[in-house]
Amino acid sequence: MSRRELAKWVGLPLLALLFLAAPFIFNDPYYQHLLILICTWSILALGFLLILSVGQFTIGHAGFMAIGAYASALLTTKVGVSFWFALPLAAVIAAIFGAVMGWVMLRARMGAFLLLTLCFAEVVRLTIVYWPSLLGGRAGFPNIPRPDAIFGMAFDSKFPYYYLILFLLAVMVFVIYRMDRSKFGLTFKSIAQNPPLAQSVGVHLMRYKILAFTVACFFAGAAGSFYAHYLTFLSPEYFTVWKSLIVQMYAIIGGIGFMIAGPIAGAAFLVVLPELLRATETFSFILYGAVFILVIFFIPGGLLSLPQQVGVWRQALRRRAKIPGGIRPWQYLRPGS
Amino acid sequence: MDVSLIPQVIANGLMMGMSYVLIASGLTIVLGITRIINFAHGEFYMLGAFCAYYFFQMAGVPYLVTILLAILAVGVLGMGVERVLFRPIREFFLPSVVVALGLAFFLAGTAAWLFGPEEKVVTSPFPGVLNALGATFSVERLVVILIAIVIMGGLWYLITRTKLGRALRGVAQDREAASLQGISVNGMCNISMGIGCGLAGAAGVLLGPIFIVHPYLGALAIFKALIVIILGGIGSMPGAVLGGLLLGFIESFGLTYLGGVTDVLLFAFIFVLILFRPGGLMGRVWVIRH
Repeated sequence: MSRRELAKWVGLPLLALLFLAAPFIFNDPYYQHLLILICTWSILALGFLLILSVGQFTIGHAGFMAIGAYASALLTTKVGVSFWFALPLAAVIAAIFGAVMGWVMLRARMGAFLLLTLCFAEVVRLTIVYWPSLLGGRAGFPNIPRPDAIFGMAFDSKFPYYYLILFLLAVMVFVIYRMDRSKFGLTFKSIAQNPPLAQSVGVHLMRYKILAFTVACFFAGAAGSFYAHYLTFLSPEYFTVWKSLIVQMYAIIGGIGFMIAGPIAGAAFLVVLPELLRATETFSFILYGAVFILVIFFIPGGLLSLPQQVGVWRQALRRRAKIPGGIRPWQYLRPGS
Repeated sequence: MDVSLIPQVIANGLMMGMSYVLIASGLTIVLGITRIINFAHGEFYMLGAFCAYYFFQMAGVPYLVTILLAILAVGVLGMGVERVLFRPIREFFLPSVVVALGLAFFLAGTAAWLFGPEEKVVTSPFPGVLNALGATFSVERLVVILIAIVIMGGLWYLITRTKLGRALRGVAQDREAASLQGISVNGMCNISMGIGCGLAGAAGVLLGPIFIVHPYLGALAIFKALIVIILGGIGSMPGAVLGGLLLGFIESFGLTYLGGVTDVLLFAFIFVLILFRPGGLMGRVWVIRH
């Protein structure tokens, strides 16, 4: 068996098994909480990378998560819908917002798009802050019900929550995998690398960009709905632009050349790292800063490109050449596009 | 609407506006010339505020000397950062965002570790108030406005009337063409970072006594500065002045007469502005193309 086949038939099932068994291996509510966070942020980071793959850089993705979260909270508390209807509904609402806002925003160039998403996310957050009668305002949205029991699983421990978010993550991974391996994946790459050329061979730029954006927003909304019912409390402070930025760092640190594994690995690494080192809040700030800078300078392809990067270093050492820049998947992304 | 409040509201708006101008002008210079969104700009401002605390408050250095010291210290730090961190990735958008953000986290964390996370108070160098036109002006704020005007004037002279300023504008307009004229692009980027961070440091010393000094000051500062430069036009110096004053007045009037809704309306307005005028209100004046 070649190394590739080995990875496919042995590595992937093992990895899936690891994800399924994770809450049993780390059988402690706090570790399970971390696992749930990793999956939640992975969904957002995957969405960010999907948008990046059509050549746009969003820093307001948490805004769509907020829409999903508050939509779901409102639906269950004010309308009285069950969580199991509220979750897909919240995702659809976020997707509709995504489609409309995408139609408005995606025609901007990269730099302007970044600022537009920032403004949109702030409008969403500030609307929540200044609408206390409906959305709880700065004080937060309390008493969001836990999900009803399903298939005999009551939501009273972390286990069902973990499997629910893992299921959402798996659905998203499946969707992105299918898109990436189909005509869409190639089209997205062509849009990111050379929009005029893509357009000249008949790619409808806006249509594909809106598609990618809507899919990303759909899952951000689903993750938001999950997050609302997992915490049973929401605050606009959970959805600041800084939160979006950190989530996007997960994807970049993991490796933007790895459509699916990158964001998940990055989220896992950056969530676990401060815990491993038992870092205080202050120290984890320093740690994150150092990791961001060191990864960009020494493993520019992201953590998952480390094996390739080591190969590059060894080759350079053998030839006694100057150490080259290495793998840089971002060099095609120009702010002008 | 209470008309008698208007002089006070204008005074507050001018004061807030000038502080935004100070913070944002540094950011816009760096963005215009290196084309890096320096997310760590707020942290340089925070370091300036700590200069005010340690030099002026603790060591008793005269206020004006403290300003110069802070400009020097933070400016040199900024130049070092540009040389080591920003130069290698200047041409690439994505890594520049990551590195700038990483730097912001690193500086904020380090400051919290070194100086302690608690809030520090700097006593006002110019106590006292002035009553005129039915409004109360604190002398300190008037001095800040004056010094800010002096600094901005100096900057205007530097950029429009000197050879260095011409070189900076050249690099901002077209890097290739500028380097063909024998202008060192690397050098100009370095200098622009020095000027930008120096301005942030000066802003920190000026505003430190008015607001509270703490290590996580930078996040809010960079956020406001970003809004200002979006409003005014990215990379444009008059844009930063206009945007800063505009934001100051909008906040001052809005918070007095409208309440919190102002923020929502402000962001909605900026959203529409970017859509229809991506260059901001004063785009493409003086420094950069966006």
